[in-house]
Amino acid sequence: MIFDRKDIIGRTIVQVIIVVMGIGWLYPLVRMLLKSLEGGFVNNYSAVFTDPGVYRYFWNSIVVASMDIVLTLTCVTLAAYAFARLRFPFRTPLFLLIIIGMMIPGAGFIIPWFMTIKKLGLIDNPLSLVGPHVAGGIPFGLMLIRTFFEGIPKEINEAAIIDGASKHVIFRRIYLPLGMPAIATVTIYTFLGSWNDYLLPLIFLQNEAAMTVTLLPQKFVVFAGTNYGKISAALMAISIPIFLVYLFGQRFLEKGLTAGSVK
Amino acid sequence: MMFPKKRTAYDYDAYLYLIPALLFIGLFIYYGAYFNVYHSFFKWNGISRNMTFIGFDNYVTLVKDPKFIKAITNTLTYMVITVILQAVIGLFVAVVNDSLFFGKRLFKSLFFLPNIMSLVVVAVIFTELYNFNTGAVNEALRAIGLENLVRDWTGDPNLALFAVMATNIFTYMGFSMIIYFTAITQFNQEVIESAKMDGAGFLQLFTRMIFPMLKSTHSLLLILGIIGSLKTFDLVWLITGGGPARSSEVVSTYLYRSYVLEYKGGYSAAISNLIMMIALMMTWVQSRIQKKWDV
Repeated sequence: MIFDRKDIIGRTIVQVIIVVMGIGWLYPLVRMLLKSLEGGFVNNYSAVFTDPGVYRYFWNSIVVASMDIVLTLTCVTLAAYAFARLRFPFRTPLFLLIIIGMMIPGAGFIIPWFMTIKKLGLIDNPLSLVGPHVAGGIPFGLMLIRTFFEGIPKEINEAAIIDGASKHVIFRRIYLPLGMPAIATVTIYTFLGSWNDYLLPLIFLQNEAAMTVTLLPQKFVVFAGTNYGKISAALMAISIPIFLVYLFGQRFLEKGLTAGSVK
Repeated sequence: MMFPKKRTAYDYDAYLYLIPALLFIGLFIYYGAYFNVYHSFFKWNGISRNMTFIGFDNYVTLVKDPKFIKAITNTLTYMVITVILQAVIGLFVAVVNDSLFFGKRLFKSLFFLPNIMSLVVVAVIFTELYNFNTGAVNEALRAIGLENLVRDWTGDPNLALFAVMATNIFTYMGFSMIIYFTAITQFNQEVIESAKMDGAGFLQLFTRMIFPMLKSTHSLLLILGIIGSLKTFDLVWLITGGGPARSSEVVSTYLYRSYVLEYKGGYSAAISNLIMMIALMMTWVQSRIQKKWDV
């Protein structure tokens, strides 16, 4: 504690500052909630969800997020196991080659990504988002899970080898189950990145049936004018999965940040 | 029992485990980088097969383009102000956290929450807050009798960029806070306690001990902030659209405009390369500084 426990004046001053700031940070969120409830408790929400097109946005986002998670985890756990426990030529250069992607801003890739998506015939298909999402998520996930795998005692590994277990069995029966906390962290971050992405859907998805949730507010800006009630209800609907993840996954979220900061 | 150590034995099947990751990274990162470099030497509309080789012309046009220079200046302003303010406020909140009487966890969770929300949601909320007639900012100013401070926050070319920056700080302050908080909890508490015993006050403790001890955390936040500013798109695009009259244009909105709205494929590829070069240079500089400090 930076203040002396008995320094009541100092501690009161900072408590007041933090409370005032807290109000400042809470206000925009509460305002969104209140606006969404304007004109009757569920009116705006039912207006949003009776729109027949809206469920597509959510369905598309769910499909994209699920594929992002499955593919990212597949790539990252396999590679992390190799980098953590196997010896092979060019191990460090290959690792750096993958990790450096984390330092490159994704916006710089919109041109080649768009062209690749076009060649794959995925324009106006929500699945076009999956490739860039997975490639963008691999560096962080790999770093996190490799660090975690390295922390698993080598003795377990060696004992399994003596028992005649193959690499693949060791990976599946030892590293995957023991790595669950780190895998949960990567799952949460992959979900957040996927669900919240705006730039790529904006470029790749022009047809409404293909759009994902972050493109939902613009639909109501166009049709509802300055009707913030309906827009706020849409914003709340988009945010509810995020709030749930925060409520139940905060432990894993913070773990991810810590791992990222101890490079 | 002893087992012979096979130091030189390689697991060649390790490469099989890398195939999925290398496939994605190769196609979307390395092929992408190659694509950008190659196309930056051509006059190309971004769609057709027709391309004319023009050497470095795109780069020459780029560095002479006043609109691009404006976007770079704005990005730098954005970078410096948001990175510093997010760090300063985040550090303050992290440092005083355990001196609070109540709400230690609550405030930490609240400040971090905007970080994981969709930027689209944050941007739409703030657009409404900034609204000239009905927005909370101007309403509050009118209510406390400061009518002469009422402004068109997103429509005034002198203020638009700052309105976006304020939103950025609202969103990412909590990230700096959590990173500082984690670093501080790893400190040796006895050192701090004994300094307090020796009569060190809040300011002394902070400037002489806590701030210098957080050196590598400052540098981590600096590099993440720089990369973050280079990719800032959502907030700017949704709150001001880079306007009015490009007064709040940043490099990524400029890139988006050039490529998606103006069909300047080769030119946009040159912009992409410049963004990546800046990012990699910054990373390299930061890793050098980090190395010097670690020794």
